[in-house]
Amino acid sequence: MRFLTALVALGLIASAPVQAAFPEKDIEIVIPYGPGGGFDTLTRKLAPYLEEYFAKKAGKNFNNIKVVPKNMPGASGKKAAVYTSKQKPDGHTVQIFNIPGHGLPYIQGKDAGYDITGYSWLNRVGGDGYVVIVAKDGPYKTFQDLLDKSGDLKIPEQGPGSTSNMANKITWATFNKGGEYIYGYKSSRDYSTAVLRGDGDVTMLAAGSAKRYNKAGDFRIVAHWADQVDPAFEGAVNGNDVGHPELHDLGLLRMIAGPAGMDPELMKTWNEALAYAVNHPDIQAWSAKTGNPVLAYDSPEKTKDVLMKNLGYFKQFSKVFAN
Amino acid sequence: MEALDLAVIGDAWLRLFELDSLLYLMLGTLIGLIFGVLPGLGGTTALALMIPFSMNMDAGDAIILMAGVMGVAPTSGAVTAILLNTPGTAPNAATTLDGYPLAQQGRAGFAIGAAASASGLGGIIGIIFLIAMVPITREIVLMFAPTEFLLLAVLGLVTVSLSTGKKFVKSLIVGLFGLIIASVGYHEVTGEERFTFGIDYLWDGFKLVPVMIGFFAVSEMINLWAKRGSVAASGEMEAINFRQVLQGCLEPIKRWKVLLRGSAIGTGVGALPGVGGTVAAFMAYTIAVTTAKPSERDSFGKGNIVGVIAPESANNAKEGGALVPTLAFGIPGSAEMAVFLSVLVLHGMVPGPTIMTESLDIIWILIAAAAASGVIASIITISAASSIAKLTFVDSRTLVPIVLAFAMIGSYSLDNEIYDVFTTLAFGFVGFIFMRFGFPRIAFPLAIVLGPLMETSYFQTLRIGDGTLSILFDRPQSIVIMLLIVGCVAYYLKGFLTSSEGKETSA
Repeated sequence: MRFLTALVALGLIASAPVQAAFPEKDIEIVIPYGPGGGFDTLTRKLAPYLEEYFAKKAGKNFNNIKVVPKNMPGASGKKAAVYTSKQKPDGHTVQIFNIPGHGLPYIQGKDAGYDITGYSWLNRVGGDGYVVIVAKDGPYKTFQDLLDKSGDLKIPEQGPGSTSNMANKITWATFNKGGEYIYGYKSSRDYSTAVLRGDGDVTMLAAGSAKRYNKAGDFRIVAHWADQVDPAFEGAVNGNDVGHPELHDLGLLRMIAGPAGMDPELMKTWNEALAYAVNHPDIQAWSAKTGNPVLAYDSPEKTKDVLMKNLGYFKQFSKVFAN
Repeated sequence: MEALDLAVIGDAWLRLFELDSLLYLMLGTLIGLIFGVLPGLGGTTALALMIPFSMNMDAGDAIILMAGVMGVAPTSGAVTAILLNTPGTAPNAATTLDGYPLAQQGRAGFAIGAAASASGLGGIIGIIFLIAMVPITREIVLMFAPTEFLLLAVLGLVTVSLSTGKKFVKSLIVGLFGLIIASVGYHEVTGEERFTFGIDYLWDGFKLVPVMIGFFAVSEMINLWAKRGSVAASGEMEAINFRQVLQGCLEPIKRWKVLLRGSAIGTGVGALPGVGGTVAAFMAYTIAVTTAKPSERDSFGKGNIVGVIAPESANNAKEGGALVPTLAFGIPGSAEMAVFLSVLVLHGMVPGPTIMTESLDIIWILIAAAAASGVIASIITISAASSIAKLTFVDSRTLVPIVLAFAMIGSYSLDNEIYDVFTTLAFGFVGFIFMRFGFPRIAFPLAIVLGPLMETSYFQTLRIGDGTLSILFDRPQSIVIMLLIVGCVAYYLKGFLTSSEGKETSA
């Protein structure tokens, strides 16, 4: 019976003993937001495959140590970042970070109680480029139509400092186009629906989200900031087409890091574990089906390099965010 | 695939009656009952804890388990609201207003019977509404813009203020206090911090659940401790029997208009993202008061069974409504729905307009399970009501420490945050002071929930309307809500003027 099998499995997991080698105890992955969002979903999806990797690596001696996602919402992710920075760098506490969202204090040169560059960066688990979306039945057919609109564009958004808000501000500043932001929408789903409803003219989404939300064909994707425009976004321009290829650096990353000072060998183990989970056929199939892009790097060093490049890119626009 | 495909609907019900499915449904219902009864631990917490367990399950089983939890938590939350003035979940706070006075009169069984029956029937009505809305979910979500949210928030605050009769001014003071508390924290529109005094805990503002537990439960326990004795007078004890419970069960059917109106409000409000069950319950309550005969209004807040039926039917019917934006756009109508949404995504489903074609079978399993769990919850609650109602005769010296302990544990376990416990205690004292000086407390929860919605929608409406509010008059749906506001005021004033003197409620 499915029910009994599941209950027995739960019982076995609960009664498992603990062993003294890394991991010595349950591992927690801190999620800086509440249950239900994209970060939460991805972390929970990866957790069982991380357990599988640690079990395989430890062979017979592994004793069912759990990888436990821990939601720690608060202060737009700051609470979790501060918490993680204060944990022991023994590999038993890591966090999923929103980049550049968590990097905003660094980009603006403000103190947030944590140093984004100081963590032990382990690997990337997800990331995406941005697209510009309008309502399919609306007045705008091309990216140029938006630039040609007289007056400011009305842009529904979550709030100042959100990653998509940063993407919007950089995009429109690049074309010297004014934007009037309608803040207060709860999520990317919410503000993209606002565009559909006609609350505003345009907004920006991560490419994967745009694919997910556009399954019914309600939206028109007029620009995709990537070297290659995704075939799903037929008719969209990229940065090369509009003379600004640098916009292709405008991306968001979902990265995993532990507290500062983790042992290099431990970091390597984590890097491999995350790559194993991300590249697992089940995760890849889930990613393709739900439009949640996942990707891992081959070393902690590469991860840190990508982080610094991303933060450096956004830092150029710190004055734009201040407005 | 047609949304109302009878073969798919039939398969969903057949699947529900498989042994495994029934066991998952019962397990979910049991977990929901426990979490609903414990203050602070509502359906959201229960669902979040169930996620890891559900990940290795078949998608249909996972949905049945989750639907069991979602269908039952609001029902069980009414039990403590009635017995101990301690809402199990935030929306049950509205049920305390008349449910608790009934318990004080030794009629707890009657109130629980009515609440359970209203919840079960309200849940079914909500599901029927959902089924009717399945083909037009997209249109419904697109119909409500910030303009309408602004007016709905105003409607909520207007009706709640009017419902307090002669205590209107005191009610405004309580409402204003609620708005000030709601303004604490990071302001999502301006990006500024307000009244945080550099304290990180206040960055996100006060959390609803610890505030509600304090304001209703802790304040009542302080009051009970000061009074001594028990919730109900001991002389009334013989009156609590199963017959009384059954009489309560029949009450929502006798008052079918209240039931239908409450369910309609619950479904409608539930379908609006970000508004949620607390508003649905309080709005149903205040509209029940406003539309009652002037001569009956003074009985509200003193144990009028309508004050239990209206919020409980709305509270359960909202589950059906809240599924509309969750499924059609992936925009959760409540915190509970946000967690449920992640369960759908974890199982490879993509909420959005195409879910009705891609995962229609799962949607119907969900609907069947939600309807069934509501009925199971009502039956369990009704069966146990006469026994658990005896709690109202326990002496305060025994009862108060136990309830306070549960309140603190519930508050702390929300986020494992000690400051939540301090918040609960602080608002307990505030609530006690309001009670002591005869301030109607009902405006407070609504102000807390609707304040941020009203402010955000106001700014958004201004931006959408190029700096003016004239857009309010451009949209038919806005005009309908404005007419409702005017109608409520006029209806109430008419009753107020035709009665010999303005009555008051002590809610």
